[in-house]
Amino acid sequence: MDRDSRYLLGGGAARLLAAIPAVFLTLFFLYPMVRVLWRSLTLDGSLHLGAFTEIVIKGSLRQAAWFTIWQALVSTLATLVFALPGAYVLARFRFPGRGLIRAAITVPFVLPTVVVGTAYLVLLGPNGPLGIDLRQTAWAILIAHVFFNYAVVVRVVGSFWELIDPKLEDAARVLGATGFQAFRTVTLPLLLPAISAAASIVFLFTFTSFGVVLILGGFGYATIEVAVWREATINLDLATSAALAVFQLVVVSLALSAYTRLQHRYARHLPLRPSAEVARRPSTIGQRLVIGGTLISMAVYLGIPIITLVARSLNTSSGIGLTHFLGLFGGETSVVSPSEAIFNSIWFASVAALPALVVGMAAALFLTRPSGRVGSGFDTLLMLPLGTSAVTIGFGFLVAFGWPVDLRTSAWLIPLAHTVVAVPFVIRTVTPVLRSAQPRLMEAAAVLGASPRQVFQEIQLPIVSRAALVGAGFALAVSLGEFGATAFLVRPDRPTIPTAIFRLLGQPGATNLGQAMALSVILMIIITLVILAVDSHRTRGPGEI
Amino acid sequence: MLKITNLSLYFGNHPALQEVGLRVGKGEVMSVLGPSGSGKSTLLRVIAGLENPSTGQVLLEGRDITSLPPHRRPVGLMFQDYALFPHLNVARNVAFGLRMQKMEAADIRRRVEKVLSWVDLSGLADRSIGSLSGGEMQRVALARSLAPEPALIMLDEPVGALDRALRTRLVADLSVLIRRVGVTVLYVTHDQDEAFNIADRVAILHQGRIRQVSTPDRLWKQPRTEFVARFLGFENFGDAEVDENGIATLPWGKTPTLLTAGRHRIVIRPDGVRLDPDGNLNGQIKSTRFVAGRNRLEVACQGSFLTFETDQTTPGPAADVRLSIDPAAIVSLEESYPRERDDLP
Repeated sequence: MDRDSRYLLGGGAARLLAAIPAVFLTLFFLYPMVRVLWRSLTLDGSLHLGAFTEIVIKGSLRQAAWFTIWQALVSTLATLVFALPGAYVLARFRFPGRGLIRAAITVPFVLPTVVVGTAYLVLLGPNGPLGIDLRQTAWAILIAHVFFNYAVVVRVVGSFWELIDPKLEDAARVLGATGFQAFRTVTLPLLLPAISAAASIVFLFTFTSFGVVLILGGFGYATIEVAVWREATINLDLATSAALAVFQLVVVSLALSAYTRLQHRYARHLPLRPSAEVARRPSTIGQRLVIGGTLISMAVYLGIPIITLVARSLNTSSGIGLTHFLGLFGGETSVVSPSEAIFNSIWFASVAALPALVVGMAAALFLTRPSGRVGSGFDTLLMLPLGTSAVTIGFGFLVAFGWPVDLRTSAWLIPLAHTVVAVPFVIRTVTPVLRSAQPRLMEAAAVLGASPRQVFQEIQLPIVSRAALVGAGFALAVSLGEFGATAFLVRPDRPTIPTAIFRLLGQPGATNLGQAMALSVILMIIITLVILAVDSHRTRGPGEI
Repeated sequence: MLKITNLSLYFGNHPALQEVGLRVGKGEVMSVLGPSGSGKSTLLRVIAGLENPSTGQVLLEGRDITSLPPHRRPVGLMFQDYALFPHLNVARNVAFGLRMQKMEAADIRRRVEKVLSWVDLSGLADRSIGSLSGGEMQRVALARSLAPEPALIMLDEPVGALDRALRTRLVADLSVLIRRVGVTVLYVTHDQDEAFNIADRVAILHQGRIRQVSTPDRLWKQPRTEFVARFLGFENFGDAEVDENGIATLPWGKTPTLLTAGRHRIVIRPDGVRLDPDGNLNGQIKSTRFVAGRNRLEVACQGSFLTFETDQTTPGPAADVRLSIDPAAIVSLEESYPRERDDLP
């Protein structure tokens, strides 16, 4: 018997919902990926594995592969070490400003890689406030990666930490465990799935890191991602590029499937409690010191790069001023037209957000159908673009859309690529909001006298539109900051803000650096405003970033 | 007011409700009491129109509402998990049912204010649902279901999600409130104290069947079946052979009763036995416990255990004692249902 059929979408509507993302992703994601795979395996139409052996033989590529794995592991470990105290403090203690701090730490995560790269280029440069030059070292890359992913660990681990009953640790203490033993034997094992999940995400992000490595690593350091881009755009060796992309796709898929499996596992096992009861006010001096110390180091670590960037962008030869900002709009000549870049970015973002929203919402509505059972194949198809790096998507577009119709010069290609990159983000932010519309609420409305049409209008529609608002905001933010895919597809006469920043950074001179910083600040402000506008409407499930 | 006849509902082959019949009078507070899984919530959902019964009828104020969709039924339902709308504030949650009735905005405002004052939430009208405590959410849910003045309001474990101390107080408040409003109430709970405290009559539901409907007092004094007696916590079950003079031969000895001659399945209520030097039963105390201001004794009489509660001062374990049993406390049980030894709560 179909118990809730009165309030549900019929079978036809559900099939349509599933068809939208399925068709879109097959056309604009699977097809390009298949073409990349094909390109890596063939030479002039016949099977040829030369591109793969090239990775093993060619020293620079082998080095890139090793460096990618090495830096991803170290970055992940370092992020855990730095961020776990923050997760603990925010999950377990109540103090003034806690909500604000929680919102603030997510800012680095949504910042575009190019902006973070620029900030660290200034901070770790020879004239930076630290006075040490770490540019073109692995250190700079690692430090920026920790900055980027700090929020991931705090959010994913912290939201689970909040759900673990502190009485479990109390019980261990009563049974004779020291504070540390209680943590090690009770809380840590319960947290471990969440920690591994967070580690998988951080590994995934740092493994496919592009903008940060390109800007901070110089020619000395390259990840596979950077190598894909260099082989294709500088050495014009598409086969090697394709082989590298395939290799990366395999590693990333493994990490992603580990993450998905962990998510399923801890969704089942945790004894969940509402977080309101769990957080306590700090009672001892020791606790106050721990909280204070953690918050200060958090502020220093996350705040200084951003503050330095803003301060330097205002720092001109004649004191504090807006010279760099004004220089962006006419006046001094530069390699790119920044005002055009801003216009292009906003235009691309507006064009990309709508299809991303339609595809993402359709997928999320399908996934959250009350009686919905989802084939795991469909689920994987929806999430695959998340694990696929933006550079690979850009490369795929380049390989796939040159024939039969050459779309590579089309102005629509970049927004389309942005859509593919944004869809998984939309699905992930929208799904928890939609989940809050439980069938129970619709029943409550019906009992209170709402007809099926009124139930849709009063309950489902407000919740769906709230979800759409959040999804649209994230799609805009992703598109505005997108660099990896754009780097492949952009034409010199149609720059976006991130590619303009990158090109400015590649030019010598203080003026170009100053304008790169000014443009970074503008992009940061735009994105922060977009995220702030929608963030209060978000509903985060445990384990969401 | 509410009349349910021959109501059955099957989920696949599993009967959730079987031939349920129940009448609730106007202004009456009827508690549906049963262990979890007994079909209590399903019964409410059928009355609300959220489930369609396989057979049977639901009549409200003489009108057959069995096939009406939920929004056309003049009933209120307060969900166990409250189901408050997260996108609406307190006042708008309470106003929801009134807006569905297309009431004038000014009237809605007045009504919301009044209902919120009933549940002591006047100050919280503009608060968001997420900022409320468990007790406050419970009262908002109650106010929301009372606001449209339903002919019948159904409460599904309304205090079940709250802690014990708060529960006792809220049940008392609730009892006063619903009688002041004068609404007809169907109150579902698994907690016997709660049901006895609030209800005019109690319906015992077990495995989808109504086992007994009585006032709390009668239910206690005259449980009809062994299941009901066990559910109430009674323990002294036995077979009795009663002669023409009303003297029964029980597992614990011989004692006068009010029963008719013949064989009976009986239960002795725990409040019907006392220590009595002139009593006609001999026994030895096996254990004593102090429970809620009374002594709870286990006495072995002729090898069978008799459990009872008394205010008397009692000797310690192993003491030999004599007991007498109040004839009215020996209740004959119907054999209409099999002895449900295996399906105890």
